Amino acid sequence: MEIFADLFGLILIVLFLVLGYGFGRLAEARHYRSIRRREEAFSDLIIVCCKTVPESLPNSGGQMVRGSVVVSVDYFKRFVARLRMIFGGRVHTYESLLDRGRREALLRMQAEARKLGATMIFNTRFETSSISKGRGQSVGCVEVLAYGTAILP
Amino acid sequence: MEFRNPRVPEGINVSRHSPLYEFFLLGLGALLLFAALGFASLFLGSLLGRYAPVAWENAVAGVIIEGRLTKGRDGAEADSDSAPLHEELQALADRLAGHMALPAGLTVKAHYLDSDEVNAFATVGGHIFIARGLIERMPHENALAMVVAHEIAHVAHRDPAAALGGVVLLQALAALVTTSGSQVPEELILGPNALLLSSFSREVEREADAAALEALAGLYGHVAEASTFFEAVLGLPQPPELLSSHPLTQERIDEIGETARERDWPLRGETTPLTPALARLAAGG
Repeated sequence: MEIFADLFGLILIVLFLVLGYGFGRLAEARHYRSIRRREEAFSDLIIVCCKTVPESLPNSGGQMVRGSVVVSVDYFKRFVARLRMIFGGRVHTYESLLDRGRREALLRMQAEARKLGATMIFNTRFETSSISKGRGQSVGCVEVLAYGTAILP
Repeated sequence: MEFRNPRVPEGINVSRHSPLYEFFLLGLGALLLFAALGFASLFLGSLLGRYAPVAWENAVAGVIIEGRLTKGRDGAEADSDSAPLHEELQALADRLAGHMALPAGLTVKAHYLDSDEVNAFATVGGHIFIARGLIERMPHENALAMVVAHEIAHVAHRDPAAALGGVVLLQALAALVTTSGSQVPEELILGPNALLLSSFSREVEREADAAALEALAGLYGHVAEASTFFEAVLGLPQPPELLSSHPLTQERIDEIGETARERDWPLRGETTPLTPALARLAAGG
């Protein structure tokens, strides 16, 4: 009986890997398409990291805007990342997770600024935190927060 | 001053690497690594077991074997039906052990096992078990003596202690890896080593056969009927050699003949009848 339990556990892992790979790829491809489309749409809303606003710009005050996103990685990518942690090297499978998180956070910040009628955001900053830290078996999950000062027209 | 939003360049922060390729490469690497670690721990553990002091082996046997023996071999607890069988098996084992080199401190304790299986095995602390199913197929003492001597040879070579040491260390490694949250399934470590373990043990079986044959030659002056047991089990279904812990039966029969010719032990001689209680069991009553 024990061998069946072992076999069942193994089949479950393979199933999770296949599902994770399939759905993870689909979700990522869809997310990237949406990110690129919105980046194009927001390309006129300037984001910069300067701390001070140049004198030459028309300026009627500023307001903080922020965009926050929580993204999770799929089972397959987490499995590969864990294997990678045995040997070391670039964790390729986590790179796209953080890239998507940062770009999505910027887009949400831009969306907020657009609502205020702003055309520029100064002093843009990022914060990234792992919200599954310390819980080994939980899903790898990060929160990315982007914030800055929107210059009101 | 003019500010612009650049189009985010692709392929810098996210590498264009196939995750599947990475999965297979890393997976293969991990598989080889754990197989190597597993083999090393199995090998080291069996070495530690084989050369551990006999007193340790006896102490371990006291915990894991003697506590489970429901029928005492002597004293009031003994089952009245099987007590004479125990005694006769022990007497045969003692006679055979006299012709074998047992390590100091290790004595053979023979047990009768009430089971239909055609089986006999040795375990730590010098305990050997002979199943009813096997005794029932034995036409005379010489055939049974070969089996008993084979199990005593395992005790003398400290094979049960080696096997226990290897398995304990391998399980410890598997437990360490699987509980450290590394997501590595235990099968990855135990699977490949089960095959290594069985080929390792086939060599051990060949050595036990050779030692048993020598004891038979010493006790009876000939090795007649030594292969009777193997001939009796030849009709039973057998696993393929790669998966089996024992050499193929026909091979063992051939090897017995070969060793006897090499060492000049007569292959023919007068057989000794079974002692009364064993003979009654073999006759089906």
